[in-house]
Amino acid sequence: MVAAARSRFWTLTLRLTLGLLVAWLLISLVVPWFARDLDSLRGFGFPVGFWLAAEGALLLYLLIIVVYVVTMDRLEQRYRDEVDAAEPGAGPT
Amino acid sequence: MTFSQHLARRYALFLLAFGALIALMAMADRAGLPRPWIGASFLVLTVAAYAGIGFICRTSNEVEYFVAGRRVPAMYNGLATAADWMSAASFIGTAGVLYLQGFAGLAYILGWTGGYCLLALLLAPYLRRFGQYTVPDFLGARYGGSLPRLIAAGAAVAVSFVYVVVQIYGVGLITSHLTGFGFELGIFVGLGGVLVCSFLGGMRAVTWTQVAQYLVLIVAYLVPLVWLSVKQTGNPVPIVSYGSQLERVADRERELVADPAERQVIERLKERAADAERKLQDPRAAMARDEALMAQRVAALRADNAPLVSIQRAEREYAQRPRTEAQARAAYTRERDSALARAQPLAGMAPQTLPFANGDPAGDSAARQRFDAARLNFIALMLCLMMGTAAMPHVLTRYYTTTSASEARRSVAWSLFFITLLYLAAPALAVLVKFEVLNGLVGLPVDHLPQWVNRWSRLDPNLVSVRDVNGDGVLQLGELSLAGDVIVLAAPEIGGLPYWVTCLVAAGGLAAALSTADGLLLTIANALSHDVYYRLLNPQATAAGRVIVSKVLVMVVAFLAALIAALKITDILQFVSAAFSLASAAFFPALVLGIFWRRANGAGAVAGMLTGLSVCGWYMATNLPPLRNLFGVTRPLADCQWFGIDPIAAGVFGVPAGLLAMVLVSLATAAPGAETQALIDRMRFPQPGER
Repeated sequence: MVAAARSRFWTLTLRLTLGLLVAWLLISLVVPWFARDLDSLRGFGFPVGFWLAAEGALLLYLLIIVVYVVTMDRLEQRYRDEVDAAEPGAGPT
Repeated sequence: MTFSQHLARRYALFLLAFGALIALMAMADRAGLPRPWIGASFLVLTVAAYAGIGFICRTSNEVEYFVAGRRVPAMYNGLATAADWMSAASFIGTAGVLYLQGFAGLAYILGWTGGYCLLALLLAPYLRRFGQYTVPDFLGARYGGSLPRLIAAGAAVAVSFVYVVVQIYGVGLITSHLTGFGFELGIFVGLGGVLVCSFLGGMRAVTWTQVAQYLVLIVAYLVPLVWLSVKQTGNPVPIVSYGSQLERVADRERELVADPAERQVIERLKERAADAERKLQDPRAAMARDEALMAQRVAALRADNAPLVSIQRAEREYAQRPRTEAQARAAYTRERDSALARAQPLAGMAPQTLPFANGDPAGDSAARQRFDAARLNFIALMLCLMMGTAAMPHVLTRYYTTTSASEARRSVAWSLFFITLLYLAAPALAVLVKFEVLNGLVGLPVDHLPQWVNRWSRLDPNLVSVRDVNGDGVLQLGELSLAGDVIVLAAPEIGGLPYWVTCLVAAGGLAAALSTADGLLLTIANALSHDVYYRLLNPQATAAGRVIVSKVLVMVVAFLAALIAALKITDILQFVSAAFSLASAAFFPALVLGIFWRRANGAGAVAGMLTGLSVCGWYMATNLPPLRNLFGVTRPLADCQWFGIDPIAAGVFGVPAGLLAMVLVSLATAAPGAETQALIDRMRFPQPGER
């Protein structure tokens, strides 16, 4: 039971990490790569390419970390509960 | 009252006191208190406050000294990390780079924030669960043997040392600007402030000082920005309002490119470059001719009763003339290169918004190639800064100081939040300052320029200089040279704000430089005392003995760094970027694979770190002009580049090379034992009793 909880916890952690890393990489590559093309659009009072690189991407990075913080806390709580249920009193509390 | 509430009350008091100081100085300035007094008050009072916090937090306890007792709440660790992270280069340099390079400067903004994603996802919580004192500690425990630890300690010291020299240079620049002390004296005054903190209280004192320093630096950065924004657009939220200014700057840039006087300046500069080239054929004769000419000019100006500023400028030029043939040769080469660099539209500055402006995706093949190269280099530099951010030892150790892994994650989010506040502001500041320069300064009579131009060019002509190249008596953009390092420091003066704002900004820059220097000095001293002295040389050393060794080392390293900084190496950002490339190549593969790949072993880590560092070092040595001279590299520069990537981003080659070497060598040697597997499990899974 504990082994299953551990492997589930780690698989989910890896999946979350990988997913967010992909998001991070996409933002980091797309924003500069297409900056010139995006500049012909306007939004927020700025050329979009410039705005994304100067403000938008930063806020998205922050969002990635916030999602990670919240989800990991949940995953860890579930892991603790499962270990507790399997071995009352012995596991992490 | 909980610890957090206690802290909140103290720092609220600190902010109030700082606000009172600002208000007092503003009133004193209006009442006509002499300027050096205002500058000195800001300098002395803020440094005294840091020293006071350092003194209150003095400690000799090992856990307190090395990791601040591991009870720093997430938000406060975020504040401290933000101050630790934002260096003189971030505070002084970033807006300057954005001013000079336009869109290209955003690579720094993206790199220095995006790196925190890597830190949060891949490193910080795991290192916190590992729970020792330093980064080499982790590599030593994970990979076993003394070699990984030794290489890691060496790399941590080298990287941090390069970085700390740059901080101390910033301290010297700011104190000399703020008080009129000489540069060298400024360095040692500022150094006193750093030493009191890290020397007396180690990480504990540094942490609580850094929180205060963050508050000072963010206030100092935002006050002039908001003021300029209100002044120019009437909108107090600069990150929204500067969109319209961006457009006006772009319009004005187009106007200046077409301006006949600007074109004339460019023609004259080209003639000058050709002239300097001719002088280089026979420097000795040219030197004598120039000396006579300059003396004549001073005499003529005096006889004409010309304005004092012009006479002084001519005299200064005469006083700084070359005295030997070697000096003359260097001066003419410099003149040729700088004239050529400036003999371009907008004085060689990139247009503010247009990405990769020196190329054109729709142009001929050469323009397309330049566009692609600029875009590739932007991405390479950005990735390099990101991986370096995640691997900087002084930032990583900050996450050892939180109470748990969950708090460490939370703390990364707070760090990025506080850092983002400043990095959102930097492009806005660059644009608002550029608006002032293009609309307020360019076009003024050369003899009636604002006072700051003279003050700064007296301080160091490399930072600000004005030469009426076409002799029309009016300042063209092409005749003004503003170094990136002065954009933030001089922003209040450029925008016509009262003098006390200038002092406030300088105090903020000082806080940024001191806080980073503190963290770096501690990292160097701890790597040497904890990892080299205790773990390798003298494992019997007592905890108290280790703390004393670390304190002595802090002193020694600080003085060494100050001596090197006194050599006055300009162009701050170049050296910082080199440090990032080296850090990413040395640490990133070994740290990340150490957590996520069970098969990674000691031999692999050693191979990976050495390969990464060598590839990075090789690329810099063959591509950076000063290093090429040092090592006598004669192969043409074009043949040394890989994919046209600038040496500043050498880490993009170092990291993959290190990863590859690490994987191959790990697979070719024995898998790590059960002890290592247990360590990995301890890092990956929440532990009993962990909150």
